[in-house]
Amino acid sequence: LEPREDENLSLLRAARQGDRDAIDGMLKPLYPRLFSFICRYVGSNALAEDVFQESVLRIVQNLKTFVPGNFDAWTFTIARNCCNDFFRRNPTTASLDAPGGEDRDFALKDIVAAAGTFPEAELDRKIEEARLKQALANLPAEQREVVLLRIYGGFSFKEIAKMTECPLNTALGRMHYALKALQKELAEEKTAPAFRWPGRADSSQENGNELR
Amino acid sequence: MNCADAKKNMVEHLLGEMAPEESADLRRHLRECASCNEEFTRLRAGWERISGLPLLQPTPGCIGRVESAIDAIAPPDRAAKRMRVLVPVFGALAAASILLAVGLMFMRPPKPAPVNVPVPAPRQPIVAPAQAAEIPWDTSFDDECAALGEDIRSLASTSTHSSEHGLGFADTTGMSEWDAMAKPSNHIDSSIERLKHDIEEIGTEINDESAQPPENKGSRGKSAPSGTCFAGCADELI
Repeated sequence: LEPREDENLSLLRAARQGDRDAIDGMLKPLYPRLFSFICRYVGSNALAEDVFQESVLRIVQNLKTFVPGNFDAWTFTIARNCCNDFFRRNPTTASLDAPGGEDRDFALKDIVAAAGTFPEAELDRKIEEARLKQALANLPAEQREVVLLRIYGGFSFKEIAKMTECPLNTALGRMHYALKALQKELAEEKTAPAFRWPGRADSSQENGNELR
Repeated sequence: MNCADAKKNMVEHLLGEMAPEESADLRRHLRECASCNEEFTRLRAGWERISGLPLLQPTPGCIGRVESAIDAIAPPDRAAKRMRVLVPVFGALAAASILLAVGLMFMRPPKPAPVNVPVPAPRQPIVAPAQAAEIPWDTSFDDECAALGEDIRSLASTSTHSSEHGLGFADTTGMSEWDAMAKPSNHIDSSIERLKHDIEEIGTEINDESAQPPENKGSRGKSAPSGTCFAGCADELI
């Protein structure tokens, strides 16, 4: 065993015995990636918080069943299963328009409503983020999960295929179609009419772009 | 490599998971096939945009709820862990307590000064005046009677002091409170006065009898003593 793996094993042993510091040491570094995956997969920060909590609890409860190996893949698999359970329980809520509460990851319509309150650079970043979020939400769930497992989990396609219980070529095909669909949707948005911000000149006209 | 194989391998090539020799074949095909090249360009653009999605942080409130939930479902071995921590702590405390107790045994502080609590002196019985002890054994009966009369008179005089205390104890330090609590009523005072009077009378009669001529001394048991009671008794005896 490499020193790092040995260290992880001792951490895992302590976490299995209920050592809270060990549990935190194993899980807390994963929180941002796990939460981002769940949030993008479910489509709403507020809904994602419940799924995130359920995922972490399920991870802690099942620590004793984890066979030492790829801990990240194991936790993301549990998070994915929690998301799919959520979709089964709430088949109509996987949408950006779901009630977001104090959602920090604004939907496009919210950004339009609050356009006057952001600096221009921040506004552009938020618009791009909202578009990507919208494009992701429009993907089929099986394509979306492959994209998100790659982005936030950093897993290989062999690992993704194993996690999603599909052949490698299927995982590769889903990614291929997802990227084509994303690029197509995002390219169409570029040529679509720009939003008119309250009190601002039309940026597309300033840039010389034609509007349709 | 044909177009179908190229499209199949585009994602692996894009994300760097393709073997080097296969990547070289694909690059060669992309240079030769405009259609595949265009598709690969779209895939790369899509990946570059979507991979720019920022990380999201769960809110502190969300993390707090998660941690509370973890506390609630802590694995059962957590109690054992607590015991592993607590047992040495309590063991150390017990050892420290034993050491402290042993230290106190050897380093006992000086005895504190006794508290001055008024303790009543042991009760002393009423003793006869000193004269009674001084009566010689070889004195005659008349002398004894005379001495006894004197004793009774002196006792009667001391009973005035005793009656003030009610219990007849010698006046000792600390008795005043007890005596005050046990102060007799006026009825007891009057009874004591009567008793004093009777004792004085008895003492006087005994003295008078002892002062009679010697010829009468032998018949002292038959002579009628003075006083109503004794006179009545004498009459009955005669």
